Amino acid sequence: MLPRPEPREAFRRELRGRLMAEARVALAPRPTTRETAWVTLQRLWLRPAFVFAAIGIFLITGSGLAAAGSLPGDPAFALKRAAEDVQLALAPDESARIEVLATQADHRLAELSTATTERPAAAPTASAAYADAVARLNFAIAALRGKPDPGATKADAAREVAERARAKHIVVLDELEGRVGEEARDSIEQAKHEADKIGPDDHRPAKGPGAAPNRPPSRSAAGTARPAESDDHDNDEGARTAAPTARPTATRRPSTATPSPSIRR
Amino acid sequence: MGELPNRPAGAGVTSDERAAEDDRALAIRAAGGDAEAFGVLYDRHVSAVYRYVFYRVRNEAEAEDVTSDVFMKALRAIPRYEPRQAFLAWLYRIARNAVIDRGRRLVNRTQVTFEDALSHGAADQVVDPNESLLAGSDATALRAAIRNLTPLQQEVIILRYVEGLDTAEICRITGRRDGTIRGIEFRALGALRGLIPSREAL
Repeated sequence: MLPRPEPREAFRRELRGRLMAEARVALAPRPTTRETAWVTLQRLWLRPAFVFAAIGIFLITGSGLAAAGSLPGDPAFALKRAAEDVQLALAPDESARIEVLATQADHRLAELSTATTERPAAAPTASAAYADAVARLNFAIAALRGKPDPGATKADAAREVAERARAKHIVVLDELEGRVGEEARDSIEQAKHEADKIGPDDHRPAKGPGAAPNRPPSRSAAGTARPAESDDHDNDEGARTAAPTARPTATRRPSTATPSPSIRR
Repeated sequence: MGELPNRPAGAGVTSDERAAEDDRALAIRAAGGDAEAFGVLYDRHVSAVYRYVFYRVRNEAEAEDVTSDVFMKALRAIPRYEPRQAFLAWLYRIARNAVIDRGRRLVNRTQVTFEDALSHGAADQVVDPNESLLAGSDATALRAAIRNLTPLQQEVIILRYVEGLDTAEICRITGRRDGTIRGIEFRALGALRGLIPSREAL
């Protein structure tokens, strides 16, 4: 006979309360990408550098269209990255720079998703490019510390950007891991490891004694594949051993001293 | 929102399909920003997710922890929910990955505690009374034995013999073919025979 345990009523109520509180924030309507882009354009249109960049972008539009759909490792990808560097250079302050870098990390994640599902051979390179984007974002966040920041408003904003990105990326990668074939799982696993690192060191959950501090990113990481870690996500039989990792979960509570659940009979 | 009933285990095909459609509609509303719709989805599936997790972790505290994790992840991911996929299958996939992540964090994964299983004692009906192995097994030994199966074997056994799903439903949830699921179930039952002492021995 197989028991069909039910969760404790107190646990069920408490979790529902937390979910509803979180849902009001997580499911609240946000400005669309198009709206955000329009606001940014309004802020930038008078800047001379922006005008020059616009002209440059206009001149390379043809190539830019080809680059837009490129993946890390493609010849056109360098052009895409150059355009992103222009965008980064135009950021008016550190906060905007961090937003741009977070957006670039989103792009690398999207490319990784495309690579793992459509071109698995490109997945390791896409995973390395994603790791590089995360490192650049973390470096920018760490750089804020050395600058005057009355009220720590910029640091708080950076933390918020990092937390949002980390939560989003982990969920996307979890979902992706359930869909991709075996050949791409190592790349996803590597990316998950990197996603866990997003954010300032002192604001991330502890990673153990081996955790490395933020360091300046390498600009050429997109061309090299990293060694894969073990993976048993969503896997078939035989997927039973794995290295322990420290996944941050803001809502997790201690696992001890919990009374037994009731059993539905 | 509260008028939708919780999903009954082992219900007929028609009610299952209706429940799946209700889930889909609720998920679409939740993805559009309706927090209460997500709350109803939670009410409908928290028990199933908890049971799924319960059999795959060491104790009840972990089961609650992972269940919380599953629904928090589902909440953050619901804006990207793809309605072509059954909501419950989507939720089980999040649960599967959450369990695997949890397992990775355990330093000594083979250490198994029996206190929770002991605390449960007897329980609800087995779903398939024709399965003599499961029907005749002691619940404590069975739960401990299930945790010794591979992750996919655990999943198939739990979905089949705890949640009462048929092979087609398990195929939809796991994304595997019918023959694969049957093979996994066959091997899992074989492994359980070696792991569970006979009733006479107990």
